Amino acid sequence: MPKFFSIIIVLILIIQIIFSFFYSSNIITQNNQLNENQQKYDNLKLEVEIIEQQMADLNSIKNIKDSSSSANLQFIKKTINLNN
Amino acid sequence: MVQRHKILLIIFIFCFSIITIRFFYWQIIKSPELKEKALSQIYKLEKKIPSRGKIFSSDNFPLVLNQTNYKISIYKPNLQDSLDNVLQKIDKIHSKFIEENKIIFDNFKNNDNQKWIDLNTLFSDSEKNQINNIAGISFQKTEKRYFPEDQLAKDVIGFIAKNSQGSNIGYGGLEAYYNKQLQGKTGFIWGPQDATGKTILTKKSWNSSASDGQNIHSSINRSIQYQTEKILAEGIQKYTADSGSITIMDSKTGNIIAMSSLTATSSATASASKNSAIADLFEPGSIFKPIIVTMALDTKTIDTDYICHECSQNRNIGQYTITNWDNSLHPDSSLRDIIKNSDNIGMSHIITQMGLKNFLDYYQKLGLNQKTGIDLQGESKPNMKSNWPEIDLATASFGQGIVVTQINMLQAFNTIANNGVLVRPHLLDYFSDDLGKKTYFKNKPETKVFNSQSISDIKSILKYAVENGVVNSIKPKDLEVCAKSGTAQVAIKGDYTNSSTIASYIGFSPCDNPKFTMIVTINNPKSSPWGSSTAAPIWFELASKITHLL
Repeated sequence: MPKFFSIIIVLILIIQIIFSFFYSSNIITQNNQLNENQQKYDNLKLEVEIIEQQMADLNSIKNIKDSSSSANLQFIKKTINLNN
Repeated sequence: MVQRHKILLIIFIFCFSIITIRFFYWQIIKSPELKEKALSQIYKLEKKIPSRGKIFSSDNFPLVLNQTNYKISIYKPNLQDSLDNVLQKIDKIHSKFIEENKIIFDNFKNNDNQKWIDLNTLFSDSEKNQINNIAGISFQKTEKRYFPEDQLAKDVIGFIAKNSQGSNIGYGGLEAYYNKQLQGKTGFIWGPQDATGKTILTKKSWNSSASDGQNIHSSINRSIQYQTEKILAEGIQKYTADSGSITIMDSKTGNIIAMSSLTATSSATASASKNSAIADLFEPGSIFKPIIVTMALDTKTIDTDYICHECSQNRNIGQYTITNWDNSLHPDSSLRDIIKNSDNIGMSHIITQMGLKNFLDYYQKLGLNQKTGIDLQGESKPNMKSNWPEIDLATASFGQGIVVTQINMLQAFNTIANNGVLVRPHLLDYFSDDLGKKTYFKNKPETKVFNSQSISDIKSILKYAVENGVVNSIKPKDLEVCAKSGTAQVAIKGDYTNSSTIASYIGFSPCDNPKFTMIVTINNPKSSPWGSSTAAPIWFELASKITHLL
């Protein structure tokens, strides 16, 4: 009888150790995945930010004014009469 | 032998007691403190800083963006190369790096006790990636505001700076007024950390996610704002004025289309600290006359057939004499000629007939005694006096002795443009978040101040005054305008002087179903003090350019 109990206790201990290893490795894997995804998200966000900034720079009135000395930025007021 | 055993036993018991007492001390008495220390070593509280919201113009062009930068830190013991070589490598990637931090580096090199330095030089993401593999170097992410249009609408936008707690907050303009919405919600993660210091999410972890700030979509029209700033800067220079302000609003919705305040010294660059259009109080002068006439028409004190029989002479009230701006007299002036000639004497008789009670009643209805509530930080409250002797009521008829902000005046005058309905001026069109959810601005309920007949009458008078007055020669022929010029003397130490004036022009176009209402104020123009020859040309030049865009 005591031998039986000893075997049961040892088995339970082994199962617990295996389970805790599996559980902790699962947590670590998930956390690594989470960190990777977070990193990818941050990089993409940064890329979007840089592209948005470049687009804004290209389309800014400041850029048009600086890039062309002949640009007077006066609004076009002439109209075409299509009836004729 | 037995004696030795006894001594040994006593020593054991003594040692055991000491250990037990020590255990008791650490495990019972010091338990809470040590538990806390242990938790702080195992668990980590990580702060997630949200990105601040962006600000857009009415054409969805970003006026303010965020720019991610990195601050650099150098840890001497981890350097695998000499400090000089490392600095040279960084300097090749980020020019002038050594030059900018020369004093700091000299101290760092000569001080063996200093192992670590944090530098304020900002590195871009690509620069960071090139430097990242140098041992002993680490980076700290930081965000700053980026303005694709540089100084455009700077006084409307405001700026951000650190407060006493070291957090970024908005100062002035939209940045301050909508600081709460722009800054978003800071997130926190609390949980055990791994060997590299990264937080591990477990069932025991606590996570409150960060949410980025909301984006502001403003009513500022980028092209019109650009023209406004350009023409105002040129005007200030041309008329050798001290400063000037222009505000343009959508007559129906109250949306601010453009707003600019410039000083002669700043020229084309707006002051980031003060927006004169909402912060500076001034005596409006003759641009206030159409409002008084509308009040008088609305109370039926006078009608459009009114003739001023008392206008053949200056008016004396006590020790004071009311004269016209050019000392002329206009006997038997009609109502529209009183406005056309900007007749102070006629106006003083009209307000006296209308009475103080009616005047104050409309003054309050037009919101001239309080802030407009425009969504910008820094608006001043107009002063409202409690004592009104007869002379003060008379001078109020031509806008002297009362003080308002430019935005107050625009809101009140716009009531004429908007068929007698008062709308609150505002800049926010809607908020948007990263998921595309939009929250539209809800304005205060509109209030009807004047009836439609009074509005129709005053519009006809203003149109007549523009087309037959001195400004007609400079008015673009294809532009229908209802407007009034004003020249207010500035009170210095309680006395009015001719040495300093505020020239202004306010109006809307076209007269029926107007697209915009605009006010131009020029402070202390030295080339000519008159609103009709300084503020009015600026108004017309700008109006002719923007009318096609609205």
